[in-house]
Amino acid sequence: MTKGEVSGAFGVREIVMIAMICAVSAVAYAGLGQLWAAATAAGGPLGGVAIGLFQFGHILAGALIPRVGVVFITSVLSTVIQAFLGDPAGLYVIGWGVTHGIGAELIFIIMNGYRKPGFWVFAVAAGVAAVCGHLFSYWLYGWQGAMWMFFISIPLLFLASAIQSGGLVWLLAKQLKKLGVGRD
Amino acid sequence: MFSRSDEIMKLIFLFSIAIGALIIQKSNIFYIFIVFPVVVMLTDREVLQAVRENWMVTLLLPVCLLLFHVVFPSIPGLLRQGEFNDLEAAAFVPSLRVFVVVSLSIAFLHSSDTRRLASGLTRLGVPVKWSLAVYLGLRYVEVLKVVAQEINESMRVRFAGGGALGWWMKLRQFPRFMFLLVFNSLVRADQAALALESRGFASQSRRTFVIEHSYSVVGLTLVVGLFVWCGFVAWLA
Repeated sequence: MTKGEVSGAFGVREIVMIAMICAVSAVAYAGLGQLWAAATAAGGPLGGVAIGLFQFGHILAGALIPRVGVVFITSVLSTVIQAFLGDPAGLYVIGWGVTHGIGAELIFIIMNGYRKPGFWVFAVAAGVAAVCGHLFSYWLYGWQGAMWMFFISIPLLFLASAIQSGGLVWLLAKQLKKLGVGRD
Repeated sequence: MFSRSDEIMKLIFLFSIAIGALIIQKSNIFYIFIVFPVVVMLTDREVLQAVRENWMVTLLLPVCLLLFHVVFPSIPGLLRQGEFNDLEAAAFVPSLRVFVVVSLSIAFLHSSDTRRLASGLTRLGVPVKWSLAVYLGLRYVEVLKVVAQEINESMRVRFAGGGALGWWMKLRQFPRFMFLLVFNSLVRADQAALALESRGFASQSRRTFVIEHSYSVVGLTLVVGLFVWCGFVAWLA
């Protein structure tokens, strides 16, 4: 495969890399996840908007593995692993994995992120993924009684995720590229 | 009954409850629907024990949700001695929904073998490589926790003279911490992939497992009972 080419096949190396990134997410989010869960549940839509780091795992996978679908698969798998590790939301955490994954994958495809990864792709993908996940939170937590909070939270969450997750992925991908790790 | 079922039937039961509880919008229908999983929980000693041992994780979200929903719809219903209007009755639904699913999820983790689960998933048609990905992820979480601890300790030595890092220093060093953790994990991924490929892991699509999954009568009864109950609830609705 030549540089810049995007393949559809997932070999053993890609599968293991995805599993590792999911494990990294589970370790990195361990305490943060419980804090976010409590803040969002108790504070409603505005409760956890300042915490925008949850998109970094699957966005990083998209930056390192140029395979269409890797962002969505990593997002879902990482939440499956979190569910099996005892997430406070139980099996419902997979709902966030699916919604985050759909949002980020769409942006990666639309903005050609697999061929030309860069800060803006990472940032927009992280922001859109976070907003999609917020829609799932709305449905799961029944926020119909707090619509004004929900509408205010959307741009705040988009910005927080874009800057925190998108920025972190961009920094990491840049450093890893210097070491020759990741993209073929 | 739940804890004695096989892994796949437990997973189907759990997913069905989670999805059913999510899509039912009318609170009175929801409360009828949730009776079946609550009865299953209360009649299974292992489920109750798992919930008791992990009470903080089990109660974290439901209690926080209840606090939020008591504040926002209002507490007039409680003040009117239990007479709730539709909006107020619906306020308890998210908390109860999350509590039941989280409790059953915790019980599932305590009573299941991930290796048997991986075998069961392949029988359902999930490609072996994705079952392996879940298993590897779970397996390497513990390894990476040790790596994360080592990185934290080295940072404490470098930036705090061996003492605890303040929150500002932790924030500043977070990108470095993440880089080291990710780099370590990718090196291990390369090693693991090489080991798997050299042992011919990708040479065939079918795999055998050391611990095979097998369906149980208890599990089938549980799932059939749930579907019958769902049919009854759908008829009521």
